[in-house]
Amino acid sequence: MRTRIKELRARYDLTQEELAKKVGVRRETIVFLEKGKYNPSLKLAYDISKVLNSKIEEVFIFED
Amino acid sequence: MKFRRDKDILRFLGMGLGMIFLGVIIFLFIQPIFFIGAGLILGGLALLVSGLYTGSKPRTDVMIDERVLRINEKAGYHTYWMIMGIAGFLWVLDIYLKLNMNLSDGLALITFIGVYAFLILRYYFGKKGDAE
Repeated sequence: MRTRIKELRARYDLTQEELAKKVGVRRETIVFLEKGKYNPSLKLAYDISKVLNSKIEEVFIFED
Repeated sequence: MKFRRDKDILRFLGMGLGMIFLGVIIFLFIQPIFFIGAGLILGGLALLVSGLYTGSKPRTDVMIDERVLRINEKAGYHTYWMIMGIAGFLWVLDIYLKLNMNLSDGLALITFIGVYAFLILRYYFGKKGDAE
């Protein structure tokens, strides 16, 4: 799995800390998500997509 | 470095300072229970140091979120089976070697392994991540 969180975060000028605060997780969790090392819950994926004004499948990309 | 000054941290630091103050008074002026004063001073210092450490990190770095919960659950699950395995091994050992062990004989070993296994596994799962 890879994510476009870093790219979208930059578009909305959000720091990892700010995004973490908005979705209610640790900053480290955002770091792990950006590195593709953590599978988020559906709720967290939804919350992040909402903050980044994108669809879930645009933020989280699952490769076969 | 930015230091947090919200009321949670201030309350924590205040409690630490209060304990140290009370501990010093007991230690110096109430000789029969001076050890309680010493304990309060040590406890207060521990609170103060952990408060300063927590205050130096952003609020979101110290909260328990779903990733941390998942790590704790995974580490707890593995620790549980490790403890069961060791307890079972000791039990079998006791039966075949006729060691006449009591439950309390193995308890310290099991507790020691359980606590450290949990801490090490938490660290390991925290570094590893869980994506395939």
